[in-house]
Amino acid sequence: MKKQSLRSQKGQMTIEAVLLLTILFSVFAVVQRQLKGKQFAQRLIAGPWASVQGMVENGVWVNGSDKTRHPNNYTRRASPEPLL
Amino acid sequence: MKKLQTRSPLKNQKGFLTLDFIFATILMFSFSAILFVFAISFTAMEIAQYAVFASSRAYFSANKDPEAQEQAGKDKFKELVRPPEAPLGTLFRNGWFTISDVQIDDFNEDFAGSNSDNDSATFIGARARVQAKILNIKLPIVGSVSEELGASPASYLMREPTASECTAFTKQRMARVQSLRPGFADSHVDSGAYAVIMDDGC
Repeated sequence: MKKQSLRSQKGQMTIEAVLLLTILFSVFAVVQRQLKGKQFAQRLIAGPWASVQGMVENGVWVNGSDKTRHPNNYTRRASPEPLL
Repeated sequence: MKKLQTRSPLKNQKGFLTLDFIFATILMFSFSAILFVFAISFTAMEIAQYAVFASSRAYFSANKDPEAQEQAGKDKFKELVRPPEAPLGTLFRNGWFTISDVQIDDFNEDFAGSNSDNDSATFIGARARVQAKILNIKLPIVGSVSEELGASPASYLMREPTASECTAFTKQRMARVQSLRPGFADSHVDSGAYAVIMDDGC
């Protein structure tokens, strides 16, 4: 047995496990890099916040910089002689 | 069986649940953190909205002159937000949010391009800037938020005319009445005897 050490299968699973771990870590790193590169958290929070900002500042669910649709701009009509 | 497990440690499934739990905890922590920062940000915005509304309401009420109206609005805002004992200011003192001093003005120019000539475009009132620093979070796996996020809650209630403006308006009206005919402005009218009487406002 000692003379034919290359035929020994001891440690085979350990090497396979290391290989699998390396692949898993690589996939994890790639996914993490993709998420950060595409600013996933930024879009997850800043995206909806633009609408919230619009409602807080301008009273409508649109981007906060659009001030043309504030409800104060609605044309209000009143009759000087209301029907009774 | 026990002997087999001892010889093949890779077939041992002990600890898998722990790993799953750790992974799930990290993800749940991230999404819970996002929900929490949104919820607390909405609360802060609602509080700031009330503070600027109260300020705008104090500014709205008639007073001796426009400066006194503006001061009344600023005083109300400070009273609600700034003192250490003010309950509405708690969220703005812990570093999660900042709130600027209230700005009281005519903001119609900011809304130019809309129906600014419309008589209902009355953007006169109070506004304050709230910066939500809590939204600049760093989360595991998904990344971080670098953009400065915030909003400017506002309340546009316009304002009532003041005593000084009503007096000036009434005096101006008297001058115009006197200018209608030459006789109105000379001996027939004693200008010193003219008294401005404002019945229920201007």
